[in-house]
This record gives sequence, structure tokens and C-alpha cells, in this order.
Amino acid sequence: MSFKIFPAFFDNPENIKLGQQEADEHIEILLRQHWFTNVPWLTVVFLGIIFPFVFSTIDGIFINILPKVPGDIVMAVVILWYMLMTAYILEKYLYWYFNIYIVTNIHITDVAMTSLLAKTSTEVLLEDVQSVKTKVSGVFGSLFNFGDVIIKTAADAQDLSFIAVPSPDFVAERIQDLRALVEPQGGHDVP
Amino acid sequence: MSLESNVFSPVISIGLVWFIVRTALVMQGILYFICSLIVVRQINLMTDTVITEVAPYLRAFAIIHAGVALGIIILFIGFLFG
Repeated sequence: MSFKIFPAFFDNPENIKLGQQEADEHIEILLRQHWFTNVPWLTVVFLGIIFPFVFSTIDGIFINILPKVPGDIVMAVVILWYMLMTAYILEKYLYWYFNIYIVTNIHITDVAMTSLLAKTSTEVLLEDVQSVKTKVSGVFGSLFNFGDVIIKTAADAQDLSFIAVPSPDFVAERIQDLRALVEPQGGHDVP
Repeated sequence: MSLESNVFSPVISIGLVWFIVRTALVMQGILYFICSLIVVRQINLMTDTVITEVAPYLRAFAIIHAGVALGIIILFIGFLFG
């Protein structure tokens, strides 16, 4: 189950490219966090939208402060409130939208917009992957099939974690399959 | 009443309070506009990193959003100080 407004899983996407993609590189999987991870901030947004109505109702019954404030100021405060709600929605949505986990036939990349002023990008080679572990926890994780994929890499490379991605078992299996494809075809140790 | 008590007991008129509130609201609008410009810049940066079909729409939305933020500053100045 997914909403188009929160697309989180792309298998072999054709219309998506990395800015610094190599010529022979193609995206195998593109992931974002599961749509359910947006529910907490969407709840805050809902409460924020109804807050002015609730406040004016409560004020009319108990406090009665709004009639004492000039109308232009009340209107400006309401406009400003909804502007701040818009900023909150934008910030949260962009944070979700641009936190992307990409598996190509060569690399695994974690692109993250950590705030409105910062971006991080972590890239490891598929051949450096040593193990892939999945972790599905909680009621909603089990219910909607999302969880973490933890990718351990060679000692000098950085470990990667795909947080709350859809179908973590499928993703882990796919990474292992791709890892097997790029594994150097060297000889085995003689016992 | 002594001169000293007049100097150290400031009388702030309600008109001055509303003037300060109006100025603060316009300042908030200006800060919001600056924030919207940061959003434009960040969306440009991110859409250059990951190129998707939606990127042009996101960029357009960010620019329109900054335009609306600028319009709101003008609106605030108009009806708060007009």
C-alpha cells in the first residue's frame, strides 16, 4: 500500500538519474522512508490547521480577548500562522523527499537533506559490502512491512543504514544479489 | 509626584504596543521570505544531485512560494500600516 504523494519504492526507475552518475551505471533501486513515517508530522499539521478555529471558539466562550485586538493584527497573525504551517509542511516534506537511498549496479548511495541548509551524500562501492542485515520492529513496521537495512562495509569504508524503508527483506536480498555480481572473480584459497 | 517617579515609571500607550506588534509581524514576513529563498536554493541543490521527473515542478513550486512570501510582505505593509 502506498500513496502517490509519498512514493517510496522504485525498482529499476528509468526517469531518475544521479547528478554524478557514471556512463555504465544505472539505478537498480531507489528508496525513501516508508510513507507511514510521515504520519506524526501530518498529525501536527492537522492540529495546526484547526488550531486557529479551536482557539477562536475557546476565546469566544471563556477568555474573550480577540475582540480587544485590532482586526488587522488578528488577520496578520492568522496569515502568519498559516505561512508558518506551510513552511513546516515544506520542510518536513522536502526532508522526506530528499532523503534518498540509491542502489546502482556499482554503488550504494545515501543522499540526505539534513536541514534546509545542509546536504550530505555517502557513497560506497557494492564490492565493499560485507554483510546486509534487516531490522523490522514495532507494530506499524510489521503491519506495513517497513524497517531498516543495515549495510556493513569493509573496515575503511563507512557503514550505511537505510532507515524505515519499504520491503527491507527484498532490498537486502537485492543488494546481496548485486554484490555477488560485482564480486571479483579471483581464485579461492586452497585449504 | 516627583520628577524622578515620572522618569522611572514609563507609560506605554496601547497604540505603541500595537505599532510594535505590527512591526514584528512585518519582520516575521521578511524572515519567512528569506526562508523561502533558502528553500529555492536547497531544492535547486537537491534536484541537481538526484534528477527526477518531478524536479522542474518542485523548482517552480519553490519559486512561486517565494513570490507569495514576497507578496505577503507587501500585503502586511499595506494593511498594517496603510
